[in-house]
Amino acid sequence: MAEGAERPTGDWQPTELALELADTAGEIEAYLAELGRFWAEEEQALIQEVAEQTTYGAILLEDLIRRQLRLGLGVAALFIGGLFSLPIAYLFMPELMGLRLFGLPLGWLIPAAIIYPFVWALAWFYAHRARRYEEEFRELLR
Amino acid sequence: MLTPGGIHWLSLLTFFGVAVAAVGVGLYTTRVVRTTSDYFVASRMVSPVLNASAIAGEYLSAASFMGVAAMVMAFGYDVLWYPVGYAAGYLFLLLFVAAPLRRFGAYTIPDFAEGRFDSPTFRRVVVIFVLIVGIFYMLPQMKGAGLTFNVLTGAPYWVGVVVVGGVITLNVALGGMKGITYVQAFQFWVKLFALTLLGLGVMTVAGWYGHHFERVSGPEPLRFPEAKVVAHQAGTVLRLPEAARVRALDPVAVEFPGGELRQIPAGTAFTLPPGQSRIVAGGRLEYQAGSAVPNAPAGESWAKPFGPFTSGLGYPLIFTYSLMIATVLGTAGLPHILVRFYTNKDGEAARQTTIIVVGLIGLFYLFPPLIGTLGRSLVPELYASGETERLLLAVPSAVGPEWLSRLLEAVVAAGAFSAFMSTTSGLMVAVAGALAHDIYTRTLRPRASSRARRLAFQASAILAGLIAIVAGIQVERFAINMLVGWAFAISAASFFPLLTLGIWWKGLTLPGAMAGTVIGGISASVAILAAMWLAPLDLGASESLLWTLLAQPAIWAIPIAFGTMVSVSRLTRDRVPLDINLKMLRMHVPEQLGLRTEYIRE
Repeated sequence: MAEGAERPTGDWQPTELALELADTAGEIEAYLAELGRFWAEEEQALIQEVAEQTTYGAILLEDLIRRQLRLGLGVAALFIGGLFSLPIAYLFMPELMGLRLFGLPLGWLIPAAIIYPFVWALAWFYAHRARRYEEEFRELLR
Repeated sequence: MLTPGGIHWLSLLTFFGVAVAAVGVGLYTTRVVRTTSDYFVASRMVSPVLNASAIAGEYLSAASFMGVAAMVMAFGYDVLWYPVGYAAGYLFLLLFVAAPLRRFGAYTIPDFAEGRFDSPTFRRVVVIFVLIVGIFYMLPQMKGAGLTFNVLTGAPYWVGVVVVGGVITLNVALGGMKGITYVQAFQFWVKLFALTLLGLGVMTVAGWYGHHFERVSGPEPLRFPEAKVVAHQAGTVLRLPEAARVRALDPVAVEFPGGELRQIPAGTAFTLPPGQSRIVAGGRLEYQAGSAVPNAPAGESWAKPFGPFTSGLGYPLIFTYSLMIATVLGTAGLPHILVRFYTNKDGEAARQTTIIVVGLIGLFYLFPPLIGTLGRSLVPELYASGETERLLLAVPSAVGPEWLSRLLEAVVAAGAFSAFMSTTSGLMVAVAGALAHDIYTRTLRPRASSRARRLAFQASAILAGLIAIVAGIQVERFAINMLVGWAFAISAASFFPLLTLGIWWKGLTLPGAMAGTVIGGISASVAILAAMWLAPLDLGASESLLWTLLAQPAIWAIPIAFGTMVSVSRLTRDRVPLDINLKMLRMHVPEQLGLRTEYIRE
């Protein structure tokens, strides 16, 4: 309810607190509406920039996608390289694979246990980096 | 006090306890399930930890809970690639799919297919694959439910299928996605607790992992540590690396390696010579302490890569790599898992969820290799009777005291039930979602009201449940574990290329995407079906490159799918959607910029 709008009349008399609350609500509403317009304009501007392809925004977006993809492919290559070398590691490094840890050979322990924290660490590293790239992108747009 | 199936009543009690608890959690949450969006996507407000538990609960099926440990026991090292691939699949999901798919606002893969290429036709093509994958993935779960129920209660196979299928259908129809989210999360922790307790409990009594591994991986043949009685069915083949001393407890007839057939009266002690003998008339044999275990793979080949599992067709390295690719990329494209990602609040939450899933699944998979090793050491008689599949139900009885065995058995029963139930529920939501959302709402009745869509979801859930029950009853005698392999191959060779190229490459066109999806999915399917149907015919040359490539098609079918998508897209360059930049923007720009619309609205 904005300033100056009609308030209920008759027998019922609003208390001071109710009036104050109504005013505050009106202010918040107006602020939200303005914020919404601002966002819509900003969004429109951005969409337009990106849609036009040659502008700054589009270049930034392309760059973000390329960085994220390169990061993802890098992590994937690291993992696949490690995974694919495991089954043949027994042929090239039988001593290392036979090394005992907690009574189990390393060659068994890697796929049966050690690989899981490794995969988790890769996942954490990727998500951390990806979020940083997105934050940098948002900073640049501001 | 034993049940007719020979299982203690405590197991039966926990089995039903978990079922009742699951229905209870489901019913309780239906009180907070009000809106249509609760049904389909749990209102997109599931927190990452809850969502990750639910995804892990849904993903770890009976095959993971019971099957991986049993296969480790049966085949050894090569089976370790399965859990590794299943866990690493989530890494690939995180790298290439999770956040952009969530940001795009697609609920199902068919949503993505239509939204990315503006083609309702493509949605219909993809929805067929989704239904195939969902239903074929469901059948082994129903079979597992029927068999376990039969072991626990002695009731006929179909009773288990009907009971389990019915309970799940009820839960899904009443609670939708929101209802089963809590149930599945709860069931993940039941499963993890069960395997942890089993692994640690057995090791406390029987000795450390490494001790057992040492015992069963040496160059000596695997031998019975103490006398063991094994009931042999007629027709069983016994392969022995050295002579074994046995005593017949029933009258049996044995065909010895030379072809000589002997009737052996009850109570007679005799020697089974090395080589291949065959039981002609079945009965119980007592293997003396120290005699070799028939049908157990040798320690060296069991404990190292390229053992019996991957080298059967002659090209173990290609088989291994192809299996790795199929499990990793197949996981990253499974429709019933991807649906869950839409219950995340935003792209960042989707990433957090995936990281937690990788942790939870990794923790879970520490146990199957351990239990497989313990099984080889403690219950080797399962090799002789050909029942390694029963490993999880058999290990508890191998350790005393009595109360511990019963407790562990009961915990395993609870975990097993949770495993069938959570996976089947997830599949049912995916299949019901595909029917209600992709076919009813998006194709038949685009203007359907919220209430109608909700009813459509419930009707679809019941339909999916009926299909699962009816088909589940039919498959008792089929070796249907191949069907899960098939589901993974379709997922890896059609959905994964579609999602990754669609998300990361602007140049992908509708004809390219459609051609690649169809060709990839069909070629993987044909290869696996050919391997499945032709294998029993025994065409002679069982060791060949062709057989290897048919049985494990991922290594060639995925490149074909990617290649088709890229080349056809290049030829149809003018068909790139006009608003492709806007689409890329929606998928890759963080939500905080406010450029987002949801596919499913209130």
